[in-house]
Amino acid sequence: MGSVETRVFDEFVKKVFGDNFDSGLSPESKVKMMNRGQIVKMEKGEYLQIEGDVSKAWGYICKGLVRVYYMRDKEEVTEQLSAEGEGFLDCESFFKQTPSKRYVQMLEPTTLYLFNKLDNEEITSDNYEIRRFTRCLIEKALLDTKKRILNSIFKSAKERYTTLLEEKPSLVLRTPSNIVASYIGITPETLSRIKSKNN
Amino acid sequence: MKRIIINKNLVTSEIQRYVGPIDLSEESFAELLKISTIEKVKKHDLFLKPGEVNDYMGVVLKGMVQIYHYQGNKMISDFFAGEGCGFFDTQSFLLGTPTESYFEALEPTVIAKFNRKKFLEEGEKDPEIDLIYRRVLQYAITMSNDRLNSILHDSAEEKYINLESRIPGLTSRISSINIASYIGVTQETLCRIKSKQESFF
Repeated sequence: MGSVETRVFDEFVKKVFGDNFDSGLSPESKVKMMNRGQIVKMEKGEYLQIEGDVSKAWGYICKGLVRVYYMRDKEEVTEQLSAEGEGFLDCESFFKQTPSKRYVQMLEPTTLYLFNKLDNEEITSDNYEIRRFTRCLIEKALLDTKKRILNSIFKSAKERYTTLLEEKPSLVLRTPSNIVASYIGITPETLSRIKSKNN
Repeated sequence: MKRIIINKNLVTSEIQRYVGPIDLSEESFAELLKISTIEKVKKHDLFLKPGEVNDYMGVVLKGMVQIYHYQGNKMISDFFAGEGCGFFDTQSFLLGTPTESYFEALEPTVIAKFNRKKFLEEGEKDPEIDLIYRRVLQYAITMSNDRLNSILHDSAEEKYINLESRIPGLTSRISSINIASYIGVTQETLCRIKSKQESFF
C-alpha cells in the first residue's frame, strides 16, 4: 500500500473526525480498510453515477467539488454539496442496493477516495475495529444531516443563506448560484434578491 | 405484571423497509432482548426533557411517541414513532450530551429501551448485533435525509400526504396542532389541506 494512499487516508480520518480522534484501527486493520478504497481522478462535469445505477461506493473528497442531485418535475434538486475533507453518500441506493434516482456529478476537477460496497458486510463482520470505524462514519454522517435539518427548519431564506455563507464560504464562492439555491431549498430569484440586499 | 412479548418482526420490519433485509437469528435477538428494558408511559407523559441525556434507543411496541423541541417560543415537531418504529434524539444519543428535545407519549404507550453503551458492548461480542446497530443508524440517516429533502422541497400538501402514508390513522391518533407543527403550517392551512384531501375521494 503506497505512502500516498496512507497519507490520504490519515488526512481523511483527521478531516472527518478531528485531530484528536483515535480511529481505533491497528496497522493491519488500517491496511484492510484502505484496500477497500481507491483513489480516483475525475474531470469537471463528469458523472460518477447517474439515475438508474446502483450505488456501489461512497466517497471522500481529497480535492474538488461534488454534488448529488435528483430530478423532480424536470428540475434538478441538489441534495448534497461536498468539497475537500467531506464525503458524499447515496443512502437509499447504497444501503438497499436498488437503482438510484440520484446523480453524482463533479463540479470541478476532483480527486476522490472511493470505498466500495462490494462484500461490505462480509469483510467487516470478522474485524471488530473496522466495524467500529464504519459505525463512527455513519454516526458522523447522521450528525451532519441533523445539523442541516436544524439549520433549515422554520428558517427564512435569508437565515439559511447566511448560515451557509458563515459555515462554508468557499463552497458558496465556487458553486453556481442556482445550485446553491436548490441546496438550501430556495428559488434562484430569492437568492439573487438576498445577495443584492447584502451588497 | 403481564409479560410483554416482543415480536422480532415488529422490531425489524420498519428498518427493513428503508435499508433492506436484516438477518437476525433467534439467538442474537434473545441476547438483544436481554439488554432491553420495557417501560410503560401514560398519555401526555414527557419521558425525556431538555437537560437530560438520551442514553437509550427506544422502540415503540404499542402507542405513539412524538419528539419535539422549541426554537424560541415556537414548538417544532420533529418525529412521530408508532408501533415498530425506533426513535432517539440523535445528538444526545450519539454524543452523550444533554438533549434539547422532549419525548412525549401521545397515547398510552409501551416502549422497549436499548441502552447505547450496552448495545455497543454486545455488538463487540456479536457481529449480528453490531450489524443491527449499524442498520438502525442507516435507517436513521436515510429517514433524516428524506426529512431534510421534504423540508426543503415538498409543498405542505406533499408533506401531509407523506406523513399520512407513514402513519395509518394519522388524524385520529395525532392532534392538528402537532401535525401542523411537523408540516410547518398554521392549523387553518392544515384544515384546508385536509378538506382538499378528503374531497379527492
